[in-house]
Amino acid sequence: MFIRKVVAGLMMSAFAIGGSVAVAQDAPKEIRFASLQGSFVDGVNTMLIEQFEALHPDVTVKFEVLDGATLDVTLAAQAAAGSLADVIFTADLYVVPFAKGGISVDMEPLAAADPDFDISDVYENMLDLSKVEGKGLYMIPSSYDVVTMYYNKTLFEQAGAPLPTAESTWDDVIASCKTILEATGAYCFPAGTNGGTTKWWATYVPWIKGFGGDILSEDGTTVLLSSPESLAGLKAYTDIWTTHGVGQPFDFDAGGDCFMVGKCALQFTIPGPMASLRAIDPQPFEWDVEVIPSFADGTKITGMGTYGFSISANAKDPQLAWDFIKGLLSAETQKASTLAYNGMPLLKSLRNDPDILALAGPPDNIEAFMNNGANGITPTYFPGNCGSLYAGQINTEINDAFDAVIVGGSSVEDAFTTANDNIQSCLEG
Amino acid sequence: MTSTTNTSTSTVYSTPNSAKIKAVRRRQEVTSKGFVYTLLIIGALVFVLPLVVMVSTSLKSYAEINSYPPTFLPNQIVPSNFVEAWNYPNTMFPRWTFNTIFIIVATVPGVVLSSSLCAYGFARLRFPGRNLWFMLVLASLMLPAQVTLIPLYILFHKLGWLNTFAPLIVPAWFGGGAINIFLMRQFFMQIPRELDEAAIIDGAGHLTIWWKIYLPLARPALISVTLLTILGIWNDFLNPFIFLSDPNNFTISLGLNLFRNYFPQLARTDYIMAISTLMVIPMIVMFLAAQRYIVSGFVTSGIKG
Amino acid sequence: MTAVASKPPKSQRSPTFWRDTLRGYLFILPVVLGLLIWTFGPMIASAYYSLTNYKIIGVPEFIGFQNYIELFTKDKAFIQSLSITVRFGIMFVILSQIVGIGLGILLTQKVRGLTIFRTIFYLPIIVPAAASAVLWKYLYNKEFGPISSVFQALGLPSINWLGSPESALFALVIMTVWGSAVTTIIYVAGLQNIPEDLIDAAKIDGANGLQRFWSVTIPMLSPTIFFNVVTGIIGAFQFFVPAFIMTNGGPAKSTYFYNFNLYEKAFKWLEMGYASAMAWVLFAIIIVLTLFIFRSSPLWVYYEGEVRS
Repeated sequence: MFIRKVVAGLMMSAFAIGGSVAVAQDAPKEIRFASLQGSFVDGVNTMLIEQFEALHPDVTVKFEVLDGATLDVTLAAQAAAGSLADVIFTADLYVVPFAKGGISVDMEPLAAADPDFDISDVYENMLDLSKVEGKGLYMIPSSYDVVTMYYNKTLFEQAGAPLPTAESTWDDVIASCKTILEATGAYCFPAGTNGGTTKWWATYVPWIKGFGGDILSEDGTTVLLSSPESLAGLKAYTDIWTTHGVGQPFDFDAGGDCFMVGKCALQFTIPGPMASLRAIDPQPFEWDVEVIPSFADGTKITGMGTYGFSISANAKDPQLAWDFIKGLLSAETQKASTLAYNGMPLLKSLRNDPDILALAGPPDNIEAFMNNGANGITPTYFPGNCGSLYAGQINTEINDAFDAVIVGGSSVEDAFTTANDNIQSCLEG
Repeated sequence: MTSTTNTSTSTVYSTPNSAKIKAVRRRQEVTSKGFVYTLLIIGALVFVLPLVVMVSTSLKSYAEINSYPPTFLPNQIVPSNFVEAWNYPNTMFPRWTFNTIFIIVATVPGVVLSSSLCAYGFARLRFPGRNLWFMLVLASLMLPAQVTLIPLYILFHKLGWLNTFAPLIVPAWFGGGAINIFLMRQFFMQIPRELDEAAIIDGAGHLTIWWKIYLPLARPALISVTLLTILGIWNDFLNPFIFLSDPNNFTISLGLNLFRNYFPQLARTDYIMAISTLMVIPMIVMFLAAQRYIVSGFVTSGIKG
Repeated sequence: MTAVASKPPKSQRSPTFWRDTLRGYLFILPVVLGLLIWTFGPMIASAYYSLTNYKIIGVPEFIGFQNYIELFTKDKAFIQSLSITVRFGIMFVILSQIVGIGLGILLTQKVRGLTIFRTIFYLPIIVPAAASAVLWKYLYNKEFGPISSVFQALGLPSINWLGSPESALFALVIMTVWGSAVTTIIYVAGLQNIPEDLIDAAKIDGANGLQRFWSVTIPMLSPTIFFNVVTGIIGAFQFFVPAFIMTNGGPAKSTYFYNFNLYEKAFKWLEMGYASAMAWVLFAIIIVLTLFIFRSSPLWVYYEGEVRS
């Protein structure tokens, strides 16, 4: 095409100008590893590099840094240029788009062919996060990251509300929250910036399912947001803000993370933030964790979300990259990560590891993370071009519906029927 | 420079009534000066407030920052934040500072020279397509950066310049940035043409005119451009972040950004503010020092008389 | 830009025409090359992408003007985000000129400690963006931010600056004006460039401060005003990062800038083709605006050496 030629011509002329830059073609073997830096991942990065170097002393590891907040921009740019590192940091929300675009490689064949690797030791529902349309292995997850309930023990005790237990129901918890609100003025459910946490699928989809509803039909053709069951679940969920008043109002700025500053008595998130909370010295309040409360019929459902690593399609030697990545699931890495309070072990064989169980609190009830694991569900997958629960039109419609209900005062029926119909018409093209 | 009062009055009046007039004038001066001072002080307080918050936060403990309700001044001063942030594991602030300075030194001459050169062409020379190209220069400012980002990234990748300083330095020598060209052009256009004409009669070529006449006269503008370029590079986050991936090559602002996401859900605000304070100090010094050199070019011009 | 650069007919060209042309292009060669390589190449690429359904990953498929049509007809956020951006632009440009000129005048008075004052007013641009967002979030906090405290002390009602849709945009304007000391710096340089003899002449003619301001200072400052207005508009239309960090487009999408929408489409939906179309529409709007200001400039911008009645 003409325009292609013009663009190529411009690039060629620029290449000629900068062509004096020598590109070493036969440098010693190296593997490029791109990851984030942070308290939660530094240890993992180091262990992966060490384990790999032990396995392949002749290969150098080139470590590249990605920035967490703008990960999508960097990875997109690299993907467009074909310059992704061999092993790249990824997260649940990228699994599907990158797999479908051929950016990440299906590692299942590599895993199956590896005699030292036993994938059956990994919790199945966690691996579901790495699948696309039910198949494959596009991300090695880092930790057993199931959304669990953290609670501010000090606030509960101050208000005289009963502490949550493994048998608590949502009604129990909400009742406690009301007591806390009256006694201390603190809220319970954080909203995040402009309700970002409220609108996170991992917190609201369980409510839809818990009331017998769903977002999308099994065959992926019909949106079920406006079904009576889904609406009931959404109503019960948004009531936390609109009726019970125990949700952090979207316009209430606590000057920081609501739970961390002690203005919200609960938070629902993965194990990682444990470390952040523990790093505050002195501890602002006493806290612990508990499994997700149950719905009226006794079921417990919660969302899962994690980061992990993938092998990119630009990897020159996928086998080598596999040797690097599989270190993530080694018992040493999993255990080290857990002992640093950065996550929970993905391996069933580590479930009763004495060192892990003996970890000093807070949180004292650290087992809750693992017990909660079985309750985890994966996000609904939407075929077509309408986006996903993380981004795109589907995400926008649902976010707008939540805004309409919680900020705008609209009824759940109206707001979510609108969203339902808009998504439906998008799906139908 | 728009001077206000004092200088001219006392020499003009020498009549006997001048004493009273002088007294009235002096009172007016004092009032207007007082007025100016008041405004300056109020304005300064308003402008300084965020910085006070920044320094105050940098001296607070992590626990205090995360407490509710937040405090304005620290209850307990924690100067160790600075040392801890600077030496934080996995960071290389000394090296990153050096990198940033290196980029500045390599870029600023390019910006000053090429932007003033091009601006002279746009301001003083006549040739077909001049206005078109100037419009194009301005137009280049208007395209949102996100869209040219990907093609530009691909270009740099093909050139092999990724993860080097080249993408940050080289474009500065090709015009030095449309804004700077625009700014210099505006200043150049204010210089009276008689100066050029006189120089041409004396046999000077345009390059000489540019170098010997225009550059010195536009000193305030040149210094502004230099200061702003230095500042821009010092604080630039987007460009280094997208093109640099090896931590050894990072700039300070990338290092600062690390503390934003270091802990899940919690920004390391104490360290962010500590490093920010450290970053701000050299810039303050620079601005203080440069002020002396921003003197009006017309004070020494040979136009009057 | 007072001379119209239309080509003189060949018979009237000066004998040095070709030499002048060559020299002219030699002078602007750096920026011409730079534009071609770093700007127009990528721009043409992005124009091409805007006519495709490029999703960054995969091969782009040519779809003609479909992106543009979809943008104008089906995108709810398009008009909304554009109007937010325009409102921000108007508020910001006007306010920052007033503040810039005001501060510029204050900072060119003969008072003691001028250097210190100038540095204080220039300080805002020194603060790195990462820190700035955190700082202002704290300042604006309704419950305990200093601004609220001051308001309460003055007996004014406490406003939830960033938390209510009506005030969030304005709050961002204030913050950006604070941070745009560049305008002030340029005005200071511009004010310093006004020859003293003009001011003195006006004084001798009996003009008072206000008259001197309008008939000498402002006209002499007009090239600088022109610069700041144009760059202010361009900057306002590119505004995005603070909204991203501080309000995330809220509350209730009241700070959902055009570029925010663009960023989401490009990097969260991976609809790079569509986002490129959005960028070109924005580009066109800014060009029209700037052209308008340029065309009107002979009416109000004065360059030294011109005769005006």
